[in-house]
Amino acid sequence: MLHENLRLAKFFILGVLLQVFIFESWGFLGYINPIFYIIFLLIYQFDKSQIQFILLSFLLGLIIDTLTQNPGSNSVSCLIIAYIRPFLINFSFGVNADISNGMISGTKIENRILFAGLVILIHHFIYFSISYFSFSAYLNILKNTFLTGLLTSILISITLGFISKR
Amino acid sequence: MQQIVNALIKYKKFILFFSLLCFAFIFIFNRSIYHKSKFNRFFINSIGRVSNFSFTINEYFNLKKINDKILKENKTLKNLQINRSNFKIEDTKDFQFEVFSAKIIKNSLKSSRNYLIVNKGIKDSIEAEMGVISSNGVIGIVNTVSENYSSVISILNIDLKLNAKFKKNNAFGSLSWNSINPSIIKLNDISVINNISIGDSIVTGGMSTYFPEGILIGKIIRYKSYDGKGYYEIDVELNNKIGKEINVYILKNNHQKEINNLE
Repeated sequence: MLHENLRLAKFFILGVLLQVFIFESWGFLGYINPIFYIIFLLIYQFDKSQIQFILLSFLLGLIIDTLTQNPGSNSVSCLIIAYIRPFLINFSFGVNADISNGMISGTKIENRILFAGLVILIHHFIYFSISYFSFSAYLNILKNTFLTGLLTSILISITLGFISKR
Repeated sequence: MQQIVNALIKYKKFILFFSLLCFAFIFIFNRSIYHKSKFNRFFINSIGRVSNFSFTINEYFNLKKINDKILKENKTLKNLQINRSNFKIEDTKDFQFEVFSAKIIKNSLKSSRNYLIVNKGIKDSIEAEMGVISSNGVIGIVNTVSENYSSVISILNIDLKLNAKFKKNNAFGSLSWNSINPSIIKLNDISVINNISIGDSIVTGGMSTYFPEGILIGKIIRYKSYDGKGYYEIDVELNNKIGKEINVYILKNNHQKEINNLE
């Protein structure tokens, strides 16, 4: 249990530091900055209190927003993901939805890919919708969602590859 | 009570989520002017669309009244045109103030910070900080503009201060509303050396870029002067009944940028 909490704390802090100091100003192909801190929203245990998870996710978004001078897109997108995560877990893992560390061990790889893909896609869509905040910018919102989502997915897959067990 | 507590416990996740979401949006609108103005535009547009519908129905029943008022205005203008023989309609394009007509579709009088919504917006060349008048006097100043609608700070808003003067002797001061009576506003900063009396007309002073000089605002109904104080306390009754006005004119000052550059 303590080991699990330490791992979460590590990914929370690592997520913030890497996002603020490296990925926020990375500018891959000139403008694509992956959103790495999302890994915390993925590996958080499935069976833990959702209230606690909503508060932690909001705090994570708020810290990132404050440190990167963002008006609040990270807070809102993290908060919405935290709220809808149980539905996404049930949808992606089906009968295995009750496995605590489903993203790390004990589940099929295709379920994990589906869950990570959904979280990344929805998070990025909300993030860019709030950043642009205009219906007429829908093409930019979609383009950024897919391109940034692709880069985030690659980064997350590599990181999860290191920590996950079959 | 027990049921309320049960409901709170049952929906605690949603309540927490919704409260944090509201907090996050307040955070966004406070930190970003872009998001705030986008939201304001969306808000005005939505209210405008709803109000426009009810306005269309009300307008139909008030057609007779509106027609009478327009006929009266036309009569005054015709008089002016006939008596000033050298005046031509084409001359208006060289005027400092350009006039756009609009209709009030939503009006409030209950708050201390009242706003109106008019049915003209960016599409009709309306911009923020244009003066709004009716045929009876001053209405307010355009605050935010969306594609089809504009929100106007009413003269009945405690934050609005207007430059005004006496028609008879040009003594000027500033007008503000004290949020008590929607037909009475206060005229401040008029020195006791000026000779004033009940019934004197108060008009716009022309020292702001919003309104030309001489637009009627109202008449003095009460004034007091205290010993030791150098200024009068003056109550002015508004000439227009803001709650009943429908047709208004928005004034665009073509020299506004030039004047602002000098300030």
